[in-house]
Amino acid sequence: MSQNSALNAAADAENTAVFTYGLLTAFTTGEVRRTVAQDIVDHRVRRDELNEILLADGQPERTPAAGYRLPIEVTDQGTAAQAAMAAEVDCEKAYRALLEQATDGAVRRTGVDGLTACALRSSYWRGIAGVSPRTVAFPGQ
Amino acid sequence: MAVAAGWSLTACDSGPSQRQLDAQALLPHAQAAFRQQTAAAQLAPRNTAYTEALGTVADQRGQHLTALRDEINRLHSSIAAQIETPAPTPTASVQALAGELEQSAKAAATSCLETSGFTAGLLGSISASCQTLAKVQLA
Repeated sequence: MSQNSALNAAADAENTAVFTYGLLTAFTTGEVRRTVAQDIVDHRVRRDELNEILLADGQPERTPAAGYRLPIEVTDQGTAAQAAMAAEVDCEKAYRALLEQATDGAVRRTGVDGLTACALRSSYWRGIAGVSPRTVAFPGQ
Repeated sequence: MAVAAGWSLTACDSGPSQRQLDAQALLPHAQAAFRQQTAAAQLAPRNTAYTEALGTVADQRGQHLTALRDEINRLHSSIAAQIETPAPTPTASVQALAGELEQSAKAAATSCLETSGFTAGLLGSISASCQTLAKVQLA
């Protein structure tokens, strides 16, 4: 895997997360729903940052797929939290792979910032899903 | 005599190997993991509101320590002997430990930018983890 293919994979994971959180809006309420809205914004910003790096390198940007299949059926706030966790874990794995494949420090900075943001959001969703502990030792592993 | 001098000069010229330098770069991160694992375990019984969270910090910093020690051993095993020296001084409070974890997160991120491959991934993951330990477990 090269730096560009790792950037592609990370942008794809971010597009999947944007789609996932969009769906979760319908199954959440109150403060949790507000967090979903903020998470959508955060994932779009990260996705755009990754696409800008690809474009600057003469590569095409990654666009969302026509549709996505979620790993679990979302029926309520508990299953919504599990779907959010799955989306964050996929993004974490993509960012850790980007850290391992990156050939310049600026891209590595994008990787470590993206990985940290995912790890913090994952902790929130573990709390909503009732998973303990809320943190893991190696995000992205 | 001339042979001995020549050998000595060659050894001096070669300096530390890249593997030795890579292991040396991981050493402060392993020392910090050991220090904070010890601090969390010491603070846990005295801070009942944070006992479970401190147990998680001790466990997860312990996992960081193991991973870093394994990597240091692989690169240049003699450096691993320095991980647990000097003996850690007591950390005053949960808030102080949270501050140390945030510092460790920043230090690991900075080192991550200067390394590559598996080591960059490991340091980035440890950095992200330390942020969650400070901001989620010890908040």
